Amino acid sequence: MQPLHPDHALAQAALRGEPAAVAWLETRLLAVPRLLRRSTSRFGPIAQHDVEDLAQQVVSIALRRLPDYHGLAPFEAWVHRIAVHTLFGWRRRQRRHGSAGFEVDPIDPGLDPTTWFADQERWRDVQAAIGRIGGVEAEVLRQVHFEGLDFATISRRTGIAMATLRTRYYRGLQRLREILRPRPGDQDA
Amino acid sequence: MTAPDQGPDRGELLARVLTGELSPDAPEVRRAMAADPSVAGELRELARLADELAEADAMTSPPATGSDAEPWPGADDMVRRQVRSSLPRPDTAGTRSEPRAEERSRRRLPTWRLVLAAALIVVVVGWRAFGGSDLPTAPPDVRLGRQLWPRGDVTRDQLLREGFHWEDPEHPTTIGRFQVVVRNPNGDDVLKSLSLGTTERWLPTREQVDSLPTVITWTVTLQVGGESQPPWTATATLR
Repeated sequence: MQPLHPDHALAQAALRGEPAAVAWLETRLLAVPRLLRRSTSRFGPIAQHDVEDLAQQVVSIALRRLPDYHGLAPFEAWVHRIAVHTLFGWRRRQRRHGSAGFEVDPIDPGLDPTTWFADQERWRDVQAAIGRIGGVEAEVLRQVHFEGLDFATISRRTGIAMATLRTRYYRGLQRLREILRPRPGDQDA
Repeated sequence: MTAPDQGPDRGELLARVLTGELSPDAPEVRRAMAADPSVAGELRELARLADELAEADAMTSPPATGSDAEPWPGADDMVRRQVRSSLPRPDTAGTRSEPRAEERSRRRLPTWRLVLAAALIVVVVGWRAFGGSDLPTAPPDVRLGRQLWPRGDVTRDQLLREGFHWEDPEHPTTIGRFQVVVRNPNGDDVLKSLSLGTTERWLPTREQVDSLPTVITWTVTLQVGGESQPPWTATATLR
């Protein structure tokens, strides 16, 4: 069995109200607004009050779920995961409703330790798949999703027409879908 | 017009939706979906993939730490307040772990407290027996979130008219007491409401509004059974 990260004992001590551990928790959670500011810059403009709400939401979930912190990874990684899930949940709802209706996901899938390692593997697969696509299509996917650039900015920088960039982006996603699509027998392996 | 199933046009349209340039409800998207039902399915599938891409990047990048510069004024204060109001205070935790101290304090209970406790029990039993709703067994999980006002740019007249207000869509009739605290950019308290009962609005006086600095951060906290729930904070600039 994997040994628990030392942060686990600190989190438990914070739950008991031990002052040093509470101070430790406070310092660690200060990362949340910074993380959100960094991540939201990839999604184009997000209103400041939405970022503030997201930060409060993430801290609130982390504090409520602190007894569930599994200690399989450093505390920051656990919080990072809550933040990313909350942010993506918000973005999906925004896309669905066309407005920032703020709700809380009924479940926090990122907190289940059994899915922790499976997800890590999946994310590595996604990164590797972009590497396999290569060429101009992978380049656009990286610029859009990893650097948070929009087509107008990429076009200005590269001199490539926006219509061409959008088509490359679409083709890149199609190829990615082909690579990541489960093949018959994958589940049995 | 080009048919929606022709490669480049369909690709361009979907790319614009996936990157948020175009709403899924835009007329051209609706037309494309009506002309070819497979567009909606492909859009859903590619949206999931695009999310997965961004998520993979976000999750595999190193987590942020608290040592970078504060991303907006009051961000750190907001986190600290949430932590302090959510975790047990050391003195409370200490008392809980000392049954003998509790026993001693119970023995010292004055008679009037016992009478009050008995009266309370009678009221609760009576309320339940005559169809009253169940009392909450735990503090409600209040989510005020976006419902706080003022935030962003507002005028002092608007603030005077509308007051500070908040709403918890999930618990419209919350049992507890709210309090509003307004701070200046240095984090000093500049205005504080009295305990507000279950109201969802606090109207400050003209003098109070005029005394506020241009940038304020205000917090609303709910107290249930003597315990504070995590506070919710918003920042506003008064013109």
